[in-house]
Amino acid sequence: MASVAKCAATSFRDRVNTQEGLVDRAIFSEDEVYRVELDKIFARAWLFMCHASQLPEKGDFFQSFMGEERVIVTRSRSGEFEVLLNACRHRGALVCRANAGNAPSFTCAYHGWTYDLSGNLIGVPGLTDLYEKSLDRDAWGLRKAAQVSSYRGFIFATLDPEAPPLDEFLGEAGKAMIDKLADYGDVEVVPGIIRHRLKANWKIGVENDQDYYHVGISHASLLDAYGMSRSEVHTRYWQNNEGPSVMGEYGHTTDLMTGHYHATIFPHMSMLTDLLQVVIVRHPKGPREMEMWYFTFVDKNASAEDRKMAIDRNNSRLGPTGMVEQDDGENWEFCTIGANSHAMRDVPFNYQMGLGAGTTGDSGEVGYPLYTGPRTTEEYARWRLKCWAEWMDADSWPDLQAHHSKPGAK
Amino acid sequence: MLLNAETQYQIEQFFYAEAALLDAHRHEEWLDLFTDDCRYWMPVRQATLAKQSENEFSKPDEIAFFNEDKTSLGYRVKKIESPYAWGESPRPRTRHMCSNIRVLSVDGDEMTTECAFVFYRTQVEADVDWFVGRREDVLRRVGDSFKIVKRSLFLDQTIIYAKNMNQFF
Repeated sequence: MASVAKCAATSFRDRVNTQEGLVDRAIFSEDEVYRVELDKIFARAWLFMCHASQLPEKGDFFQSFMGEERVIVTRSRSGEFEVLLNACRHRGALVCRANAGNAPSFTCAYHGWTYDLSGNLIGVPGLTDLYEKSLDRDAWGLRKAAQVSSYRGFIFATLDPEAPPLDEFLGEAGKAMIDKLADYGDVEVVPGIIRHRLKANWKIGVENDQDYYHVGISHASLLDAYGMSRSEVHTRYWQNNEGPSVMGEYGHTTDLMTGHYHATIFPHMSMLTDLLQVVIVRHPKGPREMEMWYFTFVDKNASAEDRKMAIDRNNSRLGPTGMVEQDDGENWEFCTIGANSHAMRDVPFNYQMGLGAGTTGDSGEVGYPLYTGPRTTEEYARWRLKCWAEWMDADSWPDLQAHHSKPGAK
Repeated sequence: MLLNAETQYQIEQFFYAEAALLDAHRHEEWLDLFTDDCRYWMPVRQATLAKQSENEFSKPDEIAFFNEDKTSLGYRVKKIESPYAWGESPRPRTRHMCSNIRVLSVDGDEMTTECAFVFYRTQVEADVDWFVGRREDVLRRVGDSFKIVKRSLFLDQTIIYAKNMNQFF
């Protein structure tokens, strides 16, 4: 039986065999793998936080996550974006409970330590009477993300001071993926962030964004409702579907199909940017659980009719009530149960569709290499898992920079 | 429209009969209870600071879990009735309940009612979902019964913990 070398695995690269298309199922379920992911991916990568349009005024804040860490994205008094860990430095309690809003400062409800919008500790009850002024307030501000940066209003943060600039992390390919959404105009996030918890591994959810194999099967009831033929859908996706895609550095991937443009900024930011105008983030909540957040974008200057149509398209398709996504969550939950199988722990998942098909060219006029081949393929997933293993095996950002796959390199 | 104990009784019986249709998976008959100009809406909720609760729910022209007219509700009924609606086999076991039913206002042959709803769903093996919230319905008197002109559903939860929301509320 074909197998991946899990028992003897000394590295994560051994558990993701992209040459033969065999992947250790336990990477989608195991507690130990997840613990390493929190360290080597979620504490290292640049992570999408929110969009500048959500924080127009000083004092505006939006709570997000970096891995499982709660963070508050604020617009400070000087107008800068700050990313603060939402944990009081005294006993670790939350200092902010709301998803979003406007506040001059954040006060811990336990002993009243108070922090300003930049995380500075500005109030300590009993500073004179109990601490006799010996507490160094400057040393006890909220912990912050190591770096915060934005690209065209999309705010990212990383917990790793060694991370290269956001520009380098995204690369030309990653920036082009964001451009596709930003180019709709002067874009803003429409109020109403959908938050959906699923008992599924975050990577299984991400993989689905470029899975054009499942459309005619999983979503057959949707096609039925609209009187569309499944064979037409299969023809569209399964035949005559050669073309360019992007298998980008550090694991960023996208198709380039009209009506799709499903892009993924590694690790967990997905963008569906043709027809739909949405960013979906899959926050990890344990090895077998995640929370999906949906940010819908529209052009501020769009006509009322265009704005309504864009919002209606997202409303009707996305989230737990979406006519499309109603069908997806359950599949990912069942996959996660399967990934956690004890009896089949040494039986790999099959990632062999499109193996060896397609070619990767040089960086041409677009500024990054294109993969040309079938677009209903598991190449996206293979590439992303290959990159995932490189992230997991790297000891540090410099190590990852030195030892990661470049698209098209032999 | 005269508002009295008889009217209250009729409204309650109408809602109970509606719930029975949903729990029996008789979706097309359920759809017939809506007027052709109906609106079926469930905004998205977020946790806000107490003094900023005006931003708790998304507005009607913003993101929503449902923002349907009769036509789009019809597509949803067709989808759930499709033999390829994988999630409907085995059929989810559901129980739609409503209580605290009050009439808020009367305007000609229409009235606005409010109730608290509890929707329990269990499916496959041990999946259990509870959806709880406030519901506002605009009912129109048609003959000796009612039709639903507008249904607004305000869920109490801000994060959806159910694997999907395929069913109707």
